[in-house]
Parts: sequence; structure tokens; C-alpha cells
Amino acid sequence: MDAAVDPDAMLMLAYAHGDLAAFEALYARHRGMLYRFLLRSVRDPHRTDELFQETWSRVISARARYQPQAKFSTWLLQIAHNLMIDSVRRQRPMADGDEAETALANVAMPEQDQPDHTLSEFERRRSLQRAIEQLPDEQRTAVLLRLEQELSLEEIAAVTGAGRETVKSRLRYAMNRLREVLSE
Amino acid sequence: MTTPLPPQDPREPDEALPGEAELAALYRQLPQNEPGPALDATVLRAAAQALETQPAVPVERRRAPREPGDWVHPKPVAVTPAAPAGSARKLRPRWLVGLSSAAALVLAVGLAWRMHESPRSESAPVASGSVAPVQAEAATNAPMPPAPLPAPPKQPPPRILAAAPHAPMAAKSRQAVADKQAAPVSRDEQQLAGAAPRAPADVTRQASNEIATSATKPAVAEAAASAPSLQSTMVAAPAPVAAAADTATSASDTPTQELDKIRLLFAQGHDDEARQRLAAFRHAHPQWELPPELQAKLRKP
Repeated sequence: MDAAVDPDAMLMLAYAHGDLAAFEALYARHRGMLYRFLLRSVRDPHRTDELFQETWSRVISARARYQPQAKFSTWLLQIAHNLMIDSVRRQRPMADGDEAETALANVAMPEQDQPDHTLSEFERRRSLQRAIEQLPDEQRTAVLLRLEQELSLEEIAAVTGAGRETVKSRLRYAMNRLREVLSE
Repeated sequence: MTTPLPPQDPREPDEALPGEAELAALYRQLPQNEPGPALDATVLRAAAQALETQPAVPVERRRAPREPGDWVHPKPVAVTPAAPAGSARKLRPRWLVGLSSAAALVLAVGLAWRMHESPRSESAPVASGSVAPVQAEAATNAPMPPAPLPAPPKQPPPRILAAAPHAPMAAKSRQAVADKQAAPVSRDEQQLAGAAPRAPADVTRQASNEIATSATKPAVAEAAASAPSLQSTMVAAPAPVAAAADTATSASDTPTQELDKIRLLFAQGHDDEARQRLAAFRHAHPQWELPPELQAKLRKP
């Protein structure tokens, strides 16, 4: 992708030339989505904080060599994904059960108008969260990148290092599983 | 892990998966977790500090150091490095100097320990018979010759002078063999030490004198020959057992040890026996390349 097309890439280049405000704008645009991707992938708030900080640290240290060949968000997620894989290899056990649920639900829910509807939607969201947690790692990552980041199959393939058809297959399996859980 | 390049831009239209819209809508209702203010502050502070400490400048392609496992950074841009890179380069020699100094110190201490330990372990079974202690004592005596030196000393016997350079070699080779075959050598030396008391006393005394003089430098040998004082007797005292013990034939001797013993026999004046053993050695080890001085001895009957 051309740098002129991607505003994030322009911000990154500006930061590489010493513009701190550009980095602040870039950070503000991507902090939420990156944090959620990490939190829902590793399901551990402490490790999420570490990985989040480490990801941005890599971005900062790589600013001088950054070349806008693709969307900045894809590159950022690629860094985060690789760090996450390394982290999972280092410490295999993940947070699960109550800890993960607490971590994922510690932010206020969107308000709904009707109480009955709120309860039903809450149960559905909780089921979706649990179903995503129980997916295999590769499928969960693909689903998160698709649903949270709205990446294309090619972009997910680039981030995860898998082939396009592999990503498509993972997404099919994962979404079928999520639909099954929600329909139960 | 390899360094991933930023992926290519997907331009093809992406197909929607079945049921994706419903899942996406439900997913968007999930809690919108975000990093805390402290985390935000940490990241923004790191970004600011990076600009303050080292202004970002592109570095030359392929010449920027890449840490092991550094798969994050994309390929560097082809621009000449700037001054701040030099400061990082200046730090490296300090680190290298410290590391190399420590390594050299460890190596020196290890070598000194090794050299200090080897003669002690070798002489332990032979007690007073080894040549190495004699050398050590002679060396310690060397800086303190008798003060009133008489007239210029006579020319020492040529065989002593000829044998003198070989004594350290013999000691070195014995140390090397002792390092490699600690157990067999110590057993040999015990056998040799056991055989030593059978040697006649006068012969051993003469041999010990010669070993003592041959083991030291020529100046010390001259001083010892010209003024046979208490020092020389002290130096020579532990040698008799060693002289007989070190030249005795042993089936378990390595070729190097056997050659050392032959040299020792030449040094002691037992030329006939030495030549016989040298001939036997040559017969037993025809491929072994003899040192030039022993080849000369072998040729001259």
C-alpha cells in the first residue's frame, strides 16, 4: 500500500521524523482495538498489558526503518500476534475460568433500553465470549482479527503467517462453532 | 522466527462467510476494553523518550544490527547512518573490553592454577624423586648465587650443556602426558619410585648432581660446579631416586616418555645404554620422527 493512501502510515512516517503528536494520534486510533485483540487472545490482563506495551515499544524502536508497504494496522497486529505467540510458547498455561471472565467483563456493558432484552443480550454476549475462549488458538485469532479488526482474509493470512485458504477454513470452523453455541 | 515484512495490500473483494454479519453484530456489543491510563502514559512516555534520546534517522540497509529473534523490525532504509549511531557503536567496545579482560583474567588464572597443580600432583607419589621439584628448587636458588664468586668458572661438561635445554622439554612432555593419562602415569611413577632404592647410592648421587645442573640454567650450573656449597647439596639431595627411577624402562611408557628417559641417560653419561634403548625405540617405532640431537646420537656409535 502506498503511504499516501494510508493515513496511519503517514502518521508513522511523521513520528519517525520526530513528530511526537503524530505518534499520539496514531496511538489513539489503535490503542483500543489492539488492546482488545490481545486481551481476548491471551485472556490475561497482566500479560495483555505487557504485550500491549511491548508491541508499541517495537513500533517505537522500528520507526526509523518503517516502510509503508501495507496498512499500518496490519503491521501492528502482525507484531502483536508474533509477540503473543512467543509469550504463549514461554508460558503455556493461560488464564481461564473466573479470571478470564472477570478480565473480559470488567468494562461496563452498553446500555440497553429494555431490561428483558438486556438480560437476553447479556447472556448471548457471555456465551459468545465463552465460545471464543474455547476455540483453538488459531481459530480464535482468526475470528478476533475478522470480527474485531474487520480484516480481510489476505490480511489475516499476512498477520498470522498462514495461507488464505487456511484462514478461510479456520474462520468457517470457528464461526460454525460460535453459531452452534449461540443457538443452544 | 523470521522478520515479517508488512503484508501486501489486499485489493481483491473479500467474500463474507455465512452467518458472519450476525456474529459481528453481537461481537460489537461485547465490552469495549481499553488500556488503562497508566499504560497509555507509559507508552506515550516511551515514544517521547525515544525521540529525545535518539532522533530517528534511517540507517543503512543491511548494516544495522539486528538482535537475535528480532523479527519485528522491517528492512532498513538505504540511507547513511547518522551521528547517534556512533554513540551506540562507542558503547560496544567498552563492553567488549570488559568482557575480553575478564576472559583473559580467567584464562590466566586457569593456566597458572594448572601449571601450579601439575607438578604437585606429579611429584606426590615420587615424593623426593621427581625432576620437577629439583628444577623448582634450582630455579628458586638461581637468583641467589653465592656472593663471593670465585674466578670465572670452568667450561661445564658439554653433555650437561647439551642436555640442559631438554630438561624443560622433558618436564613439559611429562606434564602433558600426566594431564592426559593421570592414573597410568602416577602408577608408573609409583613403580619407578619403588625401583629406585635398588640403585647404588654413589651412582644416584652422581646422577642427581648432573640432573640438578642440567635442569638449571648454564649460569646456575656453572655456579654450582665452581662452588659446591650447601645449596648444591640441598638441590641435589632429592634427585638420586629420580635419576634411577626416571630412566628405568617401563612397558607402559609412551614414546615421548621413553625418549625423555633416553635423553636423561645421555645426560647422565650412560651413552651405551641410551644408544641401545634408542635403537630399540627406533626399531619399535620406525615411523616416529626422532629429534635431531637423538638422530645424531643414533648415527654416531
